[in-house]
Order: sequence, then structure tokens, then C-alpha cells
Amino acid sequence: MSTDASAPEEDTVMSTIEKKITSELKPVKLEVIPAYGDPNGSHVTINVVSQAFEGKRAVQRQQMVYKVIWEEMQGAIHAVDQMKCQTPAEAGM
Amino acid sequence: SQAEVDEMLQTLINKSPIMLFMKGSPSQPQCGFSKQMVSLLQRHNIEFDHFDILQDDLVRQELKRFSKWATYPQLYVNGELVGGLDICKELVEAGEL
Repeated sequence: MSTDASAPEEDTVMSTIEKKITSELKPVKLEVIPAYGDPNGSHVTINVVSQAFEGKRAVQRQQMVYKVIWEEMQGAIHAVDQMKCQTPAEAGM
Repeated sequence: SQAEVDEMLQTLINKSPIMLFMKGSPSQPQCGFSKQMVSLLQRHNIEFDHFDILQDDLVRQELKRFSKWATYPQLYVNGELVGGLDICKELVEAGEL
């Protein structure tokens, strides 16, 4: 995600999602990628690598992520184009 | 009441062994992901029933809370949430659908 070096730091939808997932799932790797490069856009791709997913099926892992960003999902975000939830082992880390 | 809503949703989810909650109908899907999900099921000759969540705002909002799943389409098999489009695609690739 590229940021404009001259713009003041502000809370975008994407940065809020990143902060929440980071705080709750303690990922070793996290990508929150807005579609069309819009940090306040309504479509997003989320890739999370976290030990918290260990032992959980794909559907449970996504439920964990949705729980963390539920507010954003009810409001700003209309669609998740892709959500990948892996453990560090699965991600080859 | 919440309990009544939950019971209604559980009955709806169990309406058919394979139940798809989507935007629109299989013949007229109203969103790209729902459309892809229908194609995927039809390609694999999977018989399913559907519910158009655009027709019922109560189900649309409450099912998300009930299943802890924030998006549509949602596929249920034998009353259990399988997931959305990407999970179903993965299951197809793994030969598990």
C-alpha cells in the first residue's frame, strides 16, 4: 500500500482494519489491500498469517476475522474480494 | 424475539440439504460473487435450493449475525455453514465439494 509522504496521517478504513486485525489476531504477516487503491474504498482483499488460525477450518478462520472487523463490514466495506487466512506453517514462514 | 428469529433462520437454513443464500436468483443473480457461486454449483451438478436475501431485509441482516459471516453468498450443507465463494472454490480444487 503506497502512502503520500506529504499527506497528514489519518484514519482510513483500510488502516482501521489493519489496526484491529493486528491487535486481535497478532499476525506475523498481514496485507489489507483496497480494490482500486482507494484507502476508504468498499472492496478489500485481506491476507492474514497468524498462529491463531491453528487447528481451525477455513470457515472458522474467516469468522474470526469478520468478528474483529464486524463494524467495518456493516458499514464501509461492501465486499471482500479475497480473504486468505493461513498459519505461519502453511505460509511457509 | 431473538430466539424466534434464530429459530426461523435455523428452519430456513435446513430447508434443503444444500441451501444457498444469495443476491438475486440462480436465473438472475444480482451480484458477481453470487453469480459465480451459482455457476460453480451448476458446473458440478450440485442440486441446491436458494434464498434471495435482497427480498428479505430481516433475513439479510440477521443471518449475518446468526452465522457470524459478514458477506453473501453463503452456502450451507446439511444445516452447516460451508462458507462463501472463495472457500467453495478451494473445496472444488481439493476435490472436497
